[in-house]
Amino acid sequence: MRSYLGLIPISAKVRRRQNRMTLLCIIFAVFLVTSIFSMADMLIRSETASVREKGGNWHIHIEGLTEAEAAAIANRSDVAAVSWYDTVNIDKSRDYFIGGIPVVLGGVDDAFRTEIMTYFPNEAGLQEGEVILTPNARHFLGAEEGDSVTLDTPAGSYVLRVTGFRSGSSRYATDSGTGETTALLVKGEQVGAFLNIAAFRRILNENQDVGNPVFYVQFDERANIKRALTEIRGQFPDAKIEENLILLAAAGASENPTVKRIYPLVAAVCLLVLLAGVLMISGSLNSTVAQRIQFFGMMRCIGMSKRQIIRFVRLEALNWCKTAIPAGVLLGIVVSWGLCAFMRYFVGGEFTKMVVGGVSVIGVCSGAVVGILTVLIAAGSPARKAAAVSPVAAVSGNADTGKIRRGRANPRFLNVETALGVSHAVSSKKGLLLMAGSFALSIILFLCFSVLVEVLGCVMPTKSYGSDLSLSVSEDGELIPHDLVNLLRQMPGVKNAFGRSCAFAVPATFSVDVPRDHVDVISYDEIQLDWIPGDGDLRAGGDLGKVYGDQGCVLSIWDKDVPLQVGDQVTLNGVTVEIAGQMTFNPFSNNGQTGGDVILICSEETFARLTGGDDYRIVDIQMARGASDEDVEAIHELVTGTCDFTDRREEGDLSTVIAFRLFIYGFLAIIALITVLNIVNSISMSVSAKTRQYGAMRAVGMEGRQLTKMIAAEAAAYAVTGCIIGCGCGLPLNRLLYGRLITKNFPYYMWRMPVGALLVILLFVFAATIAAVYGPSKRMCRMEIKETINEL
Amino acid sequence: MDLLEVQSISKTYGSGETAVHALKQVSFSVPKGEFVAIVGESGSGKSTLLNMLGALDCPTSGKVLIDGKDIFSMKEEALTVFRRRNIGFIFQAFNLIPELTVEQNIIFPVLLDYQKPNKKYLEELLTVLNLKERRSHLPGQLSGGQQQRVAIGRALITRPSLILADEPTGNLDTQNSSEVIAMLKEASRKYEQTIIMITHNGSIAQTTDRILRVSDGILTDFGRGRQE
Repeated sequence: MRSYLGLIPISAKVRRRQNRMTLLCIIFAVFLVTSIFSMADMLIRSETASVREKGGNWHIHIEGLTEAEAAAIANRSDVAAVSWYDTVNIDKSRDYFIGGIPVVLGGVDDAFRTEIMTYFPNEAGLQEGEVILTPNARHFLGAEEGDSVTLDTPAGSYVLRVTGFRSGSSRYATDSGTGETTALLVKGEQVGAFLNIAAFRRILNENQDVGNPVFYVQFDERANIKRALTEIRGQFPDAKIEENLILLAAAGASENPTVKRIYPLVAAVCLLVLLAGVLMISGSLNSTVAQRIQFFGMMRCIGMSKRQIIRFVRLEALNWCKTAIPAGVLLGIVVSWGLCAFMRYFVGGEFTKMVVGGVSVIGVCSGAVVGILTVLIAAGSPARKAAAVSPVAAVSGNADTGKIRRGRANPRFLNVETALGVSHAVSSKKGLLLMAGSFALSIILFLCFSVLVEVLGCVMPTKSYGSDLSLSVSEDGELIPHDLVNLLRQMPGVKNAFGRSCAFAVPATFSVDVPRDHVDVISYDEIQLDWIPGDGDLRAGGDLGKVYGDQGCVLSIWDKDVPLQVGDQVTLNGVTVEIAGQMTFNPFSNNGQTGGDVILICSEETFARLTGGDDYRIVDIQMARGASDEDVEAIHELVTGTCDFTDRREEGDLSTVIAFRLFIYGFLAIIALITVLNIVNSISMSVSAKTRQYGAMRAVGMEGRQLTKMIAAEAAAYAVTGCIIGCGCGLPLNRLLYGRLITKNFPYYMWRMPVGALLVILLFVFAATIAAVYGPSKRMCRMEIKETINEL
Repeated sequence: MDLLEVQSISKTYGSGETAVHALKQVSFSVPKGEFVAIVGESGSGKSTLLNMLGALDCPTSGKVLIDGKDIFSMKEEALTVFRRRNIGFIFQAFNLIPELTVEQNIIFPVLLDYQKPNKKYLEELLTVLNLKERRSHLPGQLSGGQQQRVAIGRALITRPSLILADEPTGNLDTQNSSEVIAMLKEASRKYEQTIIMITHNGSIAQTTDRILRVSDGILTDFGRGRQE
């Protein structure tokens, strides 16, 4: 041993059992950071990979550039690939045809095909005189690879050789909205043809036509995109620049206000994770210090200065990092593998691209760095506490020598041991406040975070009526007959098909004063009515049973501007119906409100009696799990020409919701775990500080059972006070957050006492308290009486 | 010259009706190399007095001068260093670091001073304390007497001018007690160290140079010479 600090590794070996808790805390903190950051990294990687595949590997596109300006951008060293993209005739306004079928023309550079978009077949070239067609050209033109097709234009005809067909599509989000595409998504009888940009321009020229050229830019992976973007914006102030939102956001370069609002949120979550780590480690370090008051006192006696003690405690904590950090990082990596596998194989959707078995450098580094940082920050307070130990502690063996206790135990109403326990808790106001505060903090955190679960439910509702495909009456088209829906139900891959009839602006009178003279009536078939209570869409006080069949009852949609109540009557077309219940919100609008309109929902039978019609205006289809694209295409083909067809499968993808849920519940679980650790540490610390006292009590005849009871009484006093403070502060905060985050945006959601969340956290706190009493009381009971009186 | 000079120190715990006067206007001085015993009933204020001498606790009033320096006028950090270099402590409960060997326990205060232990002096101490054979043992493997000898070695390693011992023989049998006292005397003579020792044992007190009695916070100097 060359230095006094040499005691640290020696001591660590001997005190392995006592340090286990601290070691576990550090491992857990490192694991937490590693896994959270690894997961975030993996998610971003998979999300960007998915975005690249779906919407193309480009960062910005620019409108309004000249050739020279485009060339200047292309020559930048931080630009990896560029391409022009231009298209005409998507609106069928020109006379461009192939084989008599209207054609959308697209012109692209080679890089667009090879570097930027993924929907071009690899082997298909796009030289002068060559064309890549949309897949429906096979059906409409009977064309195959290698065939020649003739493009007829007013200026002449062009013979083009088909080199391939576009596969897949492209969809990306920009500032102006989601669902933008470059894939020439054609509707009805129309085909798309990609040409070489030079050929495209020549054809347009000869036809005296112009398109709307857009310049796509892909930056180098190592480029400072933020800086490049600022330079380009400065250089071409008149050009219209659009971001590929997700890719730029992932690169930290987005200027989008929504994305910019997310960055501080991410920082706040990182900070919270760090804070959680600090709290945990600091709690358990405090506990180990409290157990060694006499040791530090003795160190002070034999000449250790305060600064040396601080250094000692800090280095001791860092010494634990030697084993704890690799263990935490390893655990984090393994857990992130598990989570990635879960996301990939069970959640699926956009996470099917997640890499399982990959190691995130960001995750590992942040785990290690944050581990050391947290330990250093966390060791600060216990180190100061240790340094403040008076050398007298070595002589007397107790930390609080000389302090006069003001609290007095009152054994008149309680057993003496219970009274003593309670008196221990309440004798020091500061101690009580700190201990109860740590209980309260966990409750408050939990109650605040639980609001997020409800926010998720509002923002991304998972309702039974969510559909994959939607059919709606085309403009001036005919209504959809019931037979078609019955036919759809028989088709392969279809799980459910259900329709709604609608009658808009039907003149009506009301039994109460309503500032409207008409109503909208919508019919639900039985399956849709069945779903209402399960989805929580029926307001309390309604009787859904009366709505089925033709019982003369309807549902109305609740809205703060519509004064209708259950029991009120509405008369339309000479028929009077009663409102038997109210829907909580309007499922037919984006914001859930009716804007003061009266909307009635009734059974198909009632609808027929009220309006005289029964054909559907909208039909929704839910596809079975595993339904193929062919199944969807078959439906599409069946309805083509009869009604409009919308494929919503990607919108209805539950994977994002599940990922968010996982994240929020994960965070709640972490808060709960911190609660347990915090409480266990706090009680253990409080008991350690009174070791001598307990020893003396045992010496004068206190049984182990009584000792346990005394410690339990003390812990219960802290827990009860903590719960009162926690609920007192947490519930108003919960209500405030609910108002700000939910009611403000979704007025039909009203705050209710979060009974579930409250019960969970309170039960957790009490379970943790019981667990926390067990360890220290066992330790005290096992210890020799002599040892507890004069413990080193 | 007097190594230690105590000038009317008093210590009061609490205030008002609950005030406890642990020491009342205690004054005395001890010359270099003297071996002093402090005796007295339990609660008489002996330990409080010893804590004041070691600067472990502050008096309510009065001064303690060691080597002419007023120890309570020093700043915390300076006091720690002063204590490390000039005062050695021996406790009734030994207070050794259980995970360090005999040798490591002894040299620990030197390491705290960022110095290298003087090997020759360490060997000499181990010989005098009869611990040479046990230098690699852990405290748990030693008898009470041997542990107390390690504590003495630890107190002597920095060659402090003052050694404070709080009932060093309190946990020892007669045989070990006389050995420890003999060792302290030897050290006091050989290294010219001043030793102040609390003891309950009358016969041990009789063997010291001088006996101070504390009773109800008041000190009486019996001034008894060593019976050699």
